[in-house]
Amino acid sequence: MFEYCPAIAEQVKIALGDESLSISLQDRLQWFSCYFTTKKHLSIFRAAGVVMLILAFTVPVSLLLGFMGALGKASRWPIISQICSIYVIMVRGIPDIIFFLFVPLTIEIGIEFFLHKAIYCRDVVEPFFNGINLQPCPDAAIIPTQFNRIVLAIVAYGIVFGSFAANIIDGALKAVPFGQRETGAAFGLTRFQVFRDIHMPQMWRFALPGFSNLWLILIKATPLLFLLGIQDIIYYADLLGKVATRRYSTYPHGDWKLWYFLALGVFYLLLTMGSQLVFSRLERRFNQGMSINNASSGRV
Amino acid sequence: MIPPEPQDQPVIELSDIHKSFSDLHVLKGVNLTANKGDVVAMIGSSGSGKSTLLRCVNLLEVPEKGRIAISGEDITFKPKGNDRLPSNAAQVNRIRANLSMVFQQFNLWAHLTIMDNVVLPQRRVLKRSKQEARQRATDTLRRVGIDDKADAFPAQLSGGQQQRAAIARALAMDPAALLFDEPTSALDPELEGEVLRVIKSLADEDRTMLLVTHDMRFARDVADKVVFLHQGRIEEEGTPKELFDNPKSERLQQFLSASVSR
Repeated sequence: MFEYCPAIAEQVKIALGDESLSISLQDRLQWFSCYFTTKKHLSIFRAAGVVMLILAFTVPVSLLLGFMGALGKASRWPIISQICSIYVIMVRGIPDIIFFLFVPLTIEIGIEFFLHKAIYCRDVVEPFFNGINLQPCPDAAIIPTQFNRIVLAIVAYGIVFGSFAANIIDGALKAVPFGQRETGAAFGLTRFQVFRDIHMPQMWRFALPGFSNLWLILIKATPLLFLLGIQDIIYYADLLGKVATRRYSTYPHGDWKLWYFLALGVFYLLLTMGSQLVFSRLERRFNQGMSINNASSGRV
Repeated sequence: MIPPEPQDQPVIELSDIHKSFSDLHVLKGVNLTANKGDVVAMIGSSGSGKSTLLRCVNLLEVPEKGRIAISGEDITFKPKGNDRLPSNAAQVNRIRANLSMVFQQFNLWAHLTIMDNVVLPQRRVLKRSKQEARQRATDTLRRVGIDDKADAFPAQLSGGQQQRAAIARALAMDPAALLFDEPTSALDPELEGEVLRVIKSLADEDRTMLLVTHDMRFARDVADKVVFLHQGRIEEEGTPKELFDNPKSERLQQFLSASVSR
């Protein structure tokens, strides 16, 4: 498709060195089409894809943990309610960065320890912890592939944002008037049916504003991915924006960092604005019929 | 001796019901029986325990002492600390499905249309098919005169219409008895009438009904039996005529004169 690229790159390179030559608009456009499809640039697009992928998987994981945390907090069994309360209090109270450094490491060591002890290395004499280092036997060591890192990122984000989600869900569940649930019970619905058919559908409208905030914070927390060794879009923007000299680069250009970071800003802005649109639709959907005031002009 | 047929047994039978909320002893040994077709009205001043008694019937409140039997079936309890709980959740749900309640605040499910409000408990509890439940809902909504509002949400209806929808929801369950907890207390005087007319027409159909009300004229109008509660005990009970025209206890005389002068 881009078979004209070597020629156009060479032509522009020469033109950049010789001020008497001018570059036509068509050439410039062709040059950019080549420039943006280099291997390096494909990496930044892939990195953007990875960010969205992680976001997409973090949402269900945090929602699941959030529901478990919120329902667990209200559990009849004190052990479960205490574990869930501790989860919500502790994880929310620790700075994200510390958590992103701590959780993936813990999970990694935990899995390695399990593999070492239980599966691969039962015959190995050397201990897992030799006094100085944690040493899983070679079979049990986790190779930090991109896939493993992404999974760890999703788990780490899921745990952190799950605790916030738990708090939001907890509050939203309590905000549903008790009479609504009691009426369900009075008609003979089981506890599960009351939860599924009455409590949960009515909870969303109280939870959505909180979720909308949380989602924006999550999007804006994705630059922390570099902590997990994932080369994210900011890493690539910095790399690609650097001055590319004529001597070493096929596509030489000046310092374009400014433009790259601007593009990143636009990327995040589009993502957040797009999601605001989705949230306002969801809010309208879950507020349907809830109060006559929602249908009015909204003025006081 | 021939054992009584099931239908001869009282629909609702409460004996020696005690209920307290922490230190407050609300019910102090109450007996109440409603036979098939009875309309029993419970009257009394605020705090006399009449609503609590009604809520004990379908176990929204669990009395710590006393026996509850619905259509001859005894509700079983198990001890819990100093208190007790029903021991069989399935039994409680079965009995609740057979005793539909109408609340003071209507309590229609706000996220569902009127139609879905009437359909939901039929589907979930009675396991009726969607078609059957919708058919029954249409019938009962027509019965209370708001079939044109089936697709509206509760918040779009007036209080009187909401309460009639709540009555339709209760009727659609085809319960053995209907429980009304001050069904008109949250309504404007103009809207009360439409709800009272519906309840009156149900009473005339020989349905079994338990009714907590502040409206003495209405109690006299619809009830077969009136029960006057005072400080957690039944002070006096009898036909409306006996109670309203010839109150024996001093308490009831005071209560009635206060109600009339109001």
